[in-house]
Amino acid sequence: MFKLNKLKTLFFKETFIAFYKENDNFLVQKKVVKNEKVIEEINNSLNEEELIEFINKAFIENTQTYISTIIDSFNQGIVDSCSHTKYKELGINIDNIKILCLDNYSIFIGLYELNNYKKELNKFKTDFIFSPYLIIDLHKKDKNNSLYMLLTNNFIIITIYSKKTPVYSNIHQFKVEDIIQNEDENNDTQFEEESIDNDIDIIDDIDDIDDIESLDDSLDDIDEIDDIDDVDIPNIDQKEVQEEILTTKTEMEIIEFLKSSIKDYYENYNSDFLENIYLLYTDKLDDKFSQNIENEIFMEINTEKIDILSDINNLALKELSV
Amino acid sequence: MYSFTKSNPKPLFAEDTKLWLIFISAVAGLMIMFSLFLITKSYLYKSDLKEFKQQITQNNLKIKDYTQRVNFIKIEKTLTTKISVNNELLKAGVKNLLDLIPDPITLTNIKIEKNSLYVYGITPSKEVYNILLLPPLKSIFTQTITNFYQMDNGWYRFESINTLKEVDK
Repeated sequence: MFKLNKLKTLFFKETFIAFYKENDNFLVQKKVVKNEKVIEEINNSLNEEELIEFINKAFIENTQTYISTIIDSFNQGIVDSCSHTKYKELGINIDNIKILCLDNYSIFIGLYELNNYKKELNKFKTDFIFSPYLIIDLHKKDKNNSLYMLLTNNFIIITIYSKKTPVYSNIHQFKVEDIIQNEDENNDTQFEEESIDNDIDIIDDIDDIDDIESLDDSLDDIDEIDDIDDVDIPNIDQKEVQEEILTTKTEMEIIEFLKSSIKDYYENYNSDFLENIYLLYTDKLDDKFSQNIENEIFMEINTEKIDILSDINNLALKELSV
Repeated sequence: MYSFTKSNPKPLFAEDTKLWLIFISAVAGLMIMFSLFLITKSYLYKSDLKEFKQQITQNNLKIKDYTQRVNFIKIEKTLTTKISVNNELLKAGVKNLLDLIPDPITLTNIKIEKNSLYVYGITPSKEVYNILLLPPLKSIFTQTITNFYQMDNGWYRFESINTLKEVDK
């Protein structure tokens, strides 16, 4: 079977499409490989319909198209053994999870979450679903007692390696609802201001005494205008303030998650002192932020920008060569 | 294994490509079969040609052999004819010779060789012989030698050796 696959790669092009959802859009990478050489690479940001069309087009162009993504479900983790006994010791019911046994450790995921995610991904003809822990594993350095943190716009995951084996894992998803809520609040303020203007226009157009009630309502709105004026924010860019608040909140969330994970590790897993901390990020990283983390945990942070989509496609390639 | 899920089955070719491939394969198959047919035919023709060449060689040898035999037979026929003619001539000669023998002379023995005739007999006298038998013998043969032996009763036993000299061609 392996030889057949190898032979197939000599004569046929293989298309690898990796995607993952970030906010409302999907980040997509298409890589066309022939005989282990990349002959085409496209990166894109698409909405759901565009992504479905993109995938269908890829299948028409090449039947050997493999679609891959990652699952950021909270109910997944790493266990430093493939033994079911170890899972039982940790109180994990193996009937409800799927286990992937790798070299000297295993990755598990809740079957319920996995099946739900598979149903969601049916429309994308997805072949491979990878754990984000594997992304960290691709970038791990040959150093002992190291903590790796993978930071995306949707989630953070932490893996701690002791004696080159991952012994601790943790995942944290950003509260998207909070962000949306904050954005909605901002939009509501604007809406109110617009409605006030409209109401004033209505006042100008009064021709009928029956509109008194609406006039009263409008007067109430005028009172609200007074209230807003009392807040004293006209010269400050609301959006910038909101973004800054959000950034600070997110940074605090990340630092808190990192600190709690380190504490959990020392208390429940291993007392060996962590020697290295690596921060793998996908988008952009503010220097101040990494300094803030260093100040909080009193350790130097090594940062590395990674391309998750490329990593997903590389995992798909590795999966096919197994 | 790295993925939580397995890959969906991937056909090597799209449906329309499959149809094209089947069509091209069928055509290629037919062409291969036809070329195999032609190769086989050509091989058989070559084999037949070789066989025919061998037959021609054998037939040529046979013709040569038959020609030799025909020539031999022709020679034999010539010889036979010659012998037959000679025999006829000899027969006629002997008949003539016997016709030449006069009554008083009795022949006891005649020996005929290729170019000579030996005649033995009894004659009442030498004169009878010299008058009646010698002249016709001399007219036929180039040389005639006769020896006489007198018998008790006064008759003579004679021996006539007649030779015919062949003319050199």
